[in-house]
Amino acid sequence: MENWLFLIPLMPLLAFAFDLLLGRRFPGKWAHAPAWIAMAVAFVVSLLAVLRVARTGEPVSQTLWRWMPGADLGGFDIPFTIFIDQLTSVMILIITGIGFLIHIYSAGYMGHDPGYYRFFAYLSLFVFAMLVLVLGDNFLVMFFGWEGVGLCSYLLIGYWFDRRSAGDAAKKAFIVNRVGDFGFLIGMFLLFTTFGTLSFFGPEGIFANLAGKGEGVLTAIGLLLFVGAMGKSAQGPLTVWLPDAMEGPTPVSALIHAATMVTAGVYMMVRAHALYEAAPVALLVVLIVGLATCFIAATIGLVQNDIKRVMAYSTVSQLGYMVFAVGAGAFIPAIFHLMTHAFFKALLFLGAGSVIHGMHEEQDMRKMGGLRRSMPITYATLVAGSLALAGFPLTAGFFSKDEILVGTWFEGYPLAAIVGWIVAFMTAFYTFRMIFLTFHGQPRFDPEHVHPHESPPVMTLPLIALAIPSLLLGIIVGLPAEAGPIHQWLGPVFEGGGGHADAARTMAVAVAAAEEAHHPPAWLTVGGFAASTLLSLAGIALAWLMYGTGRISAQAMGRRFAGLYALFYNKWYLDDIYQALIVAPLDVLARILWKWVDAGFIDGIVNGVAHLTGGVSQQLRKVQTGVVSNYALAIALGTVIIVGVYLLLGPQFLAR
Amino acid sequence: MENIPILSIITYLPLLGVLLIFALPRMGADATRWTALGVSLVTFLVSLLLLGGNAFGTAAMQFEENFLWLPGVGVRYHLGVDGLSILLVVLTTLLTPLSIAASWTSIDRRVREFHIAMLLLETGVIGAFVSLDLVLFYVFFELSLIPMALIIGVWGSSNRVYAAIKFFLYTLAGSLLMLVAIVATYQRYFTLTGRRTLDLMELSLRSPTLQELNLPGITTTAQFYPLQFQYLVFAAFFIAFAIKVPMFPVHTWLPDAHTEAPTAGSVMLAGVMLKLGGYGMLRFCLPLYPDAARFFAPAIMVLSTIAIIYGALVALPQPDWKRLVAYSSVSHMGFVTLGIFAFNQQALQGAVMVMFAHGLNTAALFLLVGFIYERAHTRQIGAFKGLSTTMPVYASIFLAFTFASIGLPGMTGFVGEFNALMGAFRSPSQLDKGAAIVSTLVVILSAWYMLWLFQRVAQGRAEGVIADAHGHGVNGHDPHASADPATQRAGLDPHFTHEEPPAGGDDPRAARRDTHGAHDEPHATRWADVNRRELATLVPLLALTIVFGFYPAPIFRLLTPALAALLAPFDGGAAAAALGR
Repeated sequence: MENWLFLIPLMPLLAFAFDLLLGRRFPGKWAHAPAWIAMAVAFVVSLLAVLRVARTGEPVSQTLWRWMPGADLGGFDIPFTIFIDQLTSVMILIITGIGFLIHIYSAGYMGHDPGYYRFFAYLSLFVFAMLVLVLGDNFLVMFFGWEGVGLCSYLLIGYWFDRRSAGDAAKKAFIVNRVGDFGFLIGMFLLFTTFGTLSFFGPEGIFANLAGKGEGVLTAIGLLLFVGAMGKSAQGPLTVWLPDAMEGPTPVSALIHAATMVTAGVYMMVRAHALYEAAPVALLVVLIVGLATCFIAATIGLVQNDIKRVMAYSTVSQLGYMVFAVGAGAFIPAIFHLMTHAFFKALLFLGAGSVIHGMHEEQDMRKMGGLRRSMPITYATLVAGSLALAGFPLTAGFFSKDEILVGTWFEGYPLAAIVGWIVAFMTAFYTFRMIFLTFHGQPRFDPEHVHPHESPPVMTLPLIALAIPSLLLGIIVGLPAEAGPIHQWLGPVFEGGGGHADAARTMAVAVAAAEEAHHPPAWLTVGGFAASTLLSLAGIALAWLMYGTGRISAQAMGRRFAGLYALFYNKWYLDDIYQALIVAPLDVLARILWKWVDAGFIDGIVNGVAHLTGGVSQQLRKVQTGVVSNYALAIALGTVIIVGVYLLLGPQFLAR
Repeated sequence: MENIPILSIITYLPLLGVLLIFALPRMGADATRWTALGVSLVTFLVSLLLLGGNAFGTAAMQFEENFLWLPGVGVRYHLGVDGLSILLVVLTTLLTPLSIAASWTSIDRRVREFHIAMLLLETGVIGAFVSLDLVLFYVFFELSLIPMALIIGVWGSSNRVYAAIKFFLYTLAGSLLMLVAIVATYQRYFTLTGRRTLDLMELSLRSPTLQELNLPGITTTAQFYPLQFQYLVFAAFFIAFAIKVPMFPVHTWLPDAHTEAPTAGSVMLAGVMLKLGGYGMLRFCLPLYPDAARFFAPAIMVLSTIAIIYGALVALPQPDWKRLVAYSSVSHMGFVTLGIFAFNQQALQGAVMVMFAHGLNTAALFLLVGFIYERAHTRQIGAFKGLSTTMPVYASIFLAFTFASIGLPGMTGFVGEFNALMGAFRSPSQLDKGAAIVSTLVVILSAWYMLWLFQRVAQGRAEGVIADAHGHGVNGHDPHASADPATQRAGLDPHFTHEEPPAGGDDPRAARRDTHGAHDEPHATRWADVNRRELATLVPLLALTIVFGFYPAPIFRLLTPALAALLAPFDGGAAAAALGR
């Protein structure tokens, strides 16, 4: 029994409780210490668990308590169980590893913030919830983490709550995510009525009992869960919250809105890959939505001026890559890209944070320029991250993105792969537009008032620690292409081996064998490399010409494509459409219900009855004449009526 | 312990407090408060014995006290509890001392009368939860009505008399219908069996059962209580309880009552009295008239769904903080009826869990509104801003209960609402499934109205903080706030935004000054954070909602036998049989 696995989520939870309750008084400027320690311990314990998985090849799990007792809930049984297989391993190492680096960085970045303890409390709570999300061995425990990270995202986006815009962004993030949760919840309802359980694995689990279930219901479940994934991973119509989420402190953007939480949707679908494979229509929808998001977000990224917003749209776009890889059935490439992206995007955000920090909270790239001299380490590491994002040959991003595109082509979607390459070109362009605008050329700020400076080691060391895997991770785990260590490691998850459900095994083994039979041909692999290399270099070159040397005028381009520019700049008007079609009408409806239905109609009747009663009483009062003979007449008449009614109706009614 | 009439003790202990206060007319205000608090705390502690002595796993009534009270008509003094009653009794005895403690400084006139009313209210509510005789129940049910109406009408705010009368008449109309139904049921039972009884166990054919009665030609409840008859009396009972819940469209007394009631009144109303409605449906409507319950269930499911969505939508534009919470109650309580009339174990557990969760969370929200009202003398949401800066502890606890109310997993609200929805979706009826799907939309709406409320009152910049010499305000220290706000907002079209300041003024407080006069201006940023007494009322509720959110099993286990017995007419005893495994 691995009865120590609970330490992984418990450590950050303890750090949260400690910092929240005592942080204001006791540790003060040391509020980061409990969080640091908790993260380090969680990382080490995660590593031990992963080593165990590596040694035995079998998943490990531990049941903590029965959250929903089936005996009391008509068979709805939800144990709070932690489960670690090869896929979970990748996630927990990313969360605790990158999380640890970001915790260190935060001590520098947030050093002067009066809410220092609060920040670390929230950050630790986030890590707890994120770990629960990936560790849960059933959909409801996953949902626990799913909502928990939503809460922390809300808390941290709205961290500087005195800013109106931060409050707006936090609220928007939570509500938009709740739209996704609506789908997720209905998906769980359908899952339970279809399978009688919400557990992933085991002989009674969902994935072992897919055979014989109607494709219609599986498609419905797949699509509903995807609605949830769209919320968390900011895909399709639910992208709108992520760019606004940049209101949060930059380490939050790095950890939550780049490296971990936003990948939850991708993780969930890969976790449920067996279900999605049995629902091809759902997968096709995933592919289309992912591809569209990938493309649209990249176009918006081309024209942003806020350094963090460039990164935000880039994140949406890169998540689009992962999602359409899932849609194409290229699950391992999706996780591979999730992993490399976690490193280089965390790096890019932290680097951007370092720039913002050094520029006294300036985020507008138009007010920067020439910073490479004053911030050499930030510059070097940011370039490393940018190369990886741009898919520069041999960097981590190059291999993982290439695998997605080759894999998508190979799974039968060459058009999608071509769109993916176009986006790769745009990615390289906007990434280096950011680099050239920020670090090259002449300073565009007032040197009298702004004195850019390099950040302290507590911030630059994590940058360096992240730069190395951003450059090298692809070579280490990604070669040979489509068959590197990452494939060997994750293979068992998709082969149904490693202690996964036996019944699923036969089905999945057949699938795996089929995949084995036609490995991507050499021409596709080599052609993919060539295309990725060329487009990446072309994008960087164009950025150099426009923003490095100025040989091509950006203004002229903007004027020439004014319509497109406006479309991109206004984020394809998605926010405005929502405001006009959903938010405003609901607001009006709510007011109508309140003023007209509630206060007008229902209370109108209630008060009307009251007035009527009052009025009738006023009239009836006049009957009280005080003349006895009048009363006698009334009594006699009343008696006749009552007896009459009783004789006519009473006996029958009572006998019935 | 068997021979001690523990239920009577719990029921009448508060009455003892009333007598004490009566007997000592010279007692000062503080002594009165301490007496009431002490008595209600003792009542709470004694009620915990019910949990300790509860025989888990049996549906039989426990701690029974049963003797003839009015021999002529067969009214019995019959008390008894099962898991369902125990949970609600303990919730009542918990919330009463918290309400009294919360009123410590806010109630400063007619202090004696106020505490007498509170304790009378407690006796009435507990009595209703433990009564197994219909007339006895009716007496306690009405008894609770009077002190509540007085609490609203005497200690309420400006429009209190209207609210109190509305509350009283609404509820009275319902309970008079119920009285007629009680008499009719009594009459029917007497006609068939020749026995004069108002005992729930007998009338609901639980003991003696229909088989034991052995009436010629009558083998089903539908023959014992003919369908036509059932429809009428069920409707009468149901309307009485639906008004209490309150269900759409008979909910309009609630916003007025809540808004006008003093804090303690709101807490008791939301935390306990609304539960009388759900409890009544479970305890009386289902066992007495199962066939009618099945007949009306589709309509009730539709009304519940409307209540859930409608309550949430109407909560959205409310300018009054308390009224917003009141409408959210309508929405939450919709889950209770939704769960009950889905007729399965999970949905029923969810429904009762929602009652419990609502008792904790909404009670806490009303406490929080009350505390701020005591400081600001206004409940207008627009009058507040940036409480996170000026009252950080208050704002943190408010945030926690905001999420409890939204139904965040790890808190009781989620456990209740999720199981009610999941249970309704598991029902074989397509209508129930549809109701569950539509009701799930509330996860979006509840987040919207609660977070928007939180944003308006707790976020944003609290004016005057910079000027405050002692200020630990964020503005003075936060380097990020020094950035040009115009630039900050330039790229950020704030959508999901409704509080655009009125044209011509960008300072909402300017408008406030006009309506509320200048006198509360100096207090604006100097409101003290929650004090220890206030904290002591909030922390237990928060702890309970989190503990049972993580680990709800003890409550489920407490409820299971009772709910299985209630379900027996609907699932052929399947749930009850599963218990015997």
